[in-house]
Amino acid sequence: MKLDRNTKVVLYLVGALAFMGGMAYASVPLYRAFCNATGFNGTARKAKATLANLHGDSQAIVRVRFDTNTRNVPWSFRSEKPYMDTRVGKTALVWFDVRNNADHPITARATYNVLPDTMGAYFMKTQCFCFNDVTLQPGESQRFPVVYFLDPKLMTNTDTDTVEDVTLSYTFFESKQLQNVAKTGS
Amino acid sequence: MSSHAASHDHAAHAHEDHEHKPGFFARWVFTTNHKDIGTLYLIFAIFAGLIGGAFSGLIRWELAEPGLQVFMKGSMLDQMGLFNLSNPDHAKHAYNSVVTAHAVIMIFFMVMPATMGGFANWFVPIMIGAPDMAFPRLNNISFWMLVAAFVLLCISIFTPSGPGGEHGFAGGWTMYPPMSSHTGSPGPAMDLVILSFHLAGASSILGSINFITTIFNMRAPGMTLHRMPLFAWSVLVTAFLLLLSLPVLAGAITMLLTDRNFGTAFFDPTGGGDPVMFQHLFWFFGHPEVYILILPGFGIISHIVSTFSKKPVFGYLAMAYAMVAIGFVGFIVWAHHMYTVGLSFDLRAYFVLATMVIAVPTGVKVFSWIATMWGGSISFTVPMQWAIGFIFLFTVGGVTGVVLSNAAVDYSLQDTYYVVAHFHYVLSLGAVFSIFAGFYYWFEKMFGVKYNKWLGGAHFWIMFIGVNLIFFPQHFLGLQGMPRRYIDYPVGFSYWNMISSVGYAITAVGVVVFLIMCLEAAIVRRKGEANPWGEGATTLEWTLSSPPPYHQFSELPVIKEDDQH
Repeated sequence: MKLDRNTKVVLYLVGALAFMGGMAYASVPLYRAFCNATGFNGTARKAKATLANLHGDSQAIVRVRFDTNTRNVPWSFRSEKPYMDTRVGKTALVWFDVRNNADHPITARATYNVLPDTMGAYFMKTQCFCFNDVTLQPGESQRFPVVYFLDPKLMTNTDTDTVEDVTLSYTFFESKQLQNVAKTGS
Repeated sequence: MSSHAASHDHAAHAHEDHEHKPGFFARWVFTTNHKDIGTLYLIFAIFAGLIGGAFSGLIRWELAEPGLQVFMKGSMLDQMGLFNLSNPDHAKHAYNSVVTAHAVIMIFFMVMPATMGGFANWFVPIMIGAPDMAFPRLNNISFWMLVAAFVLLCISIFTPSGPGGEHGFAGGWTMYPPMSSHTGSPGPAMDLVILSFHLAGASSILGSINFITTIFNMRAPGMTLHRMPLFAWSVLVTAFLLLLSLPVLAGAITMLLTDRNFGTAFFDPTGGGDPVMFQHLFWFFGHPEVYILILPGFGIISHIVSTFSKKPVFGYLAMAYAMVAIGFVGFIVWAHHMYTVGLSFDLRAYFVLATMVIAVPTGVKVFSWIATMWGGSISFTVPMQWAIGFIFLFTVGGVTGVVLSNAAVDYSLQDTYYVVAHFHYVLSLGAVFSIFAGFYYWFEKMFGVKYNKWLGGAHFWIMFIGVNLIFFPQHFLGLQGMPRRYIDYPVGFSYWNMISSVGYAITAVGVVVFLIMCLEAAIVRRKGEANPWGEGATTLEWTLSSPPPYHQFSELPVIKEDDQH
């Protein structure tokens, strides 16, 4: 079939349109993959414990502050200490306590962020409670460990080599939406 | 306007004998004629511009003095009953919703309909020697979709939005979540804004497909791309920008819509989304959008400067490819709108550099306009005054743009009145002056009657003084740290704010003079000439009568080398 000249141009243009529209949606998983891969925008990274030894150790001390929040979840949530002075490259452990104050079981999930954003790339967590749903019965408490280290490579980046304070922030959200999310976007 | 009265000289144009115009309703509602659709767009743009301009009047009135005076209980505005000003929170929200509506109306319902709708529909087919657009019926639906979009936006202003039931979406035209998500704006106003953007976007996408197809396929014999007038070039580049950027906006606001209503979490951190992602998507559209607003103006100014200097445009090919370069670079600089979201040093360095590079093709254009005038036999007609005014004002806005492109400077100037002054110099003054320049340049051609030159000149000078008085002091306010989008400010900022508001009053007088100019021309009806501008006006529209026949070029013109630009 021979297409007329106008139809041909329109087909190309609609193709470009569909491509750009598709890219807008594709950018969501791409952006997430990019953030996870690079720690862009304060996305703290999961790491294997052995990495710590690969990069050696450093004399620099960074104060890591812990910030705990809940949103629309009647839980008390706190870290065992407000901050820890952490040597760059050394693995550290901190405990978080959560208690369900409601009279019914609640499932929630924690999201986290690192400030300043540029430190996200160097904040490595080997163990944490942020990637799974947590269900607590009425009055139940639980203790979660977070094991992390600061990648010594941060000393070679001009964005981060003078940072003395890092905040690791956790927020517990009610997890009822998450089934939908899994279906649609992420 | 004058288009009903076809009392022009039929004898001179034999092909007009076939002229057949349908009745009023069928002609204007079902029209598929590119000139009628262009006229509809222009009337629509003037109408929307008056509403958007009235909104900016409310803003300047409120900011004339510190404290709350207009947006408060018992004020004149409250007695009009348009906005809910029952308590201070509602009043502050109403102020911000007026700011938001002003921006959206001016961008999507004034500048874009005037340039890409009005002038492009009128003159692109004529300039390339085509009888009409490639898809005339698509052209009609583009226009009426835009009207529907405007209605949706107007409804949203009076619809509940905020958590306390405040009316109208107040988060700015950028619609950042969480302000635009369910948390910040639970009411239906934001959904109406999103649907309005969907419709306006679909309208522009259909229009741009139409323009690209027309320009690629319907040029007259001999009209190669490299002989095509610069206005047609500017519309071609703009149409590509629209085609490639609008789907990204559509995607982003569709995600926002599903986040708000269907439980997705694209931009919602509680479900693993990221609000900054929306800013990236929005500005990937938003930055090309500002070039969409100004590029057709570049084309118009090139024609006017060349016509009234009686010289061809200096560096025609460089002018055409400078627009292509601006269009391309416009897609890779978006994050300079978001330096403060926490980009790494290297990313900021890249976006600073790429942003500054835009000054190069833009400089090529400004210098080429000046070089076109250089040594020319210049006549300072009304459109030429507007064009020279444009070049001056756009250059001022461009210079402050280079200042803001520095991430380090932007850290302190972000969201201050310095930014407001910058983008109003390039858009409110630049783009709007190019629209008025085009309006005065083609008025006689489009409507077949002459306007009063004295009124046109008075309009120019009053507007020129008025807008400079509004926006130049805002540079000082911004440098002193006055932030945008607040209803009030400390007393220390009151001096320049008062001057800025006086400038608004002067500009409003200029708009009244403009309306009087249109009315006077419609009443007196001095008969227009085919080519009132003489030897400098070389493009094809000046070979036709004024107004052009209802269907032009039944015999295609043949373009030989060196006929054009």
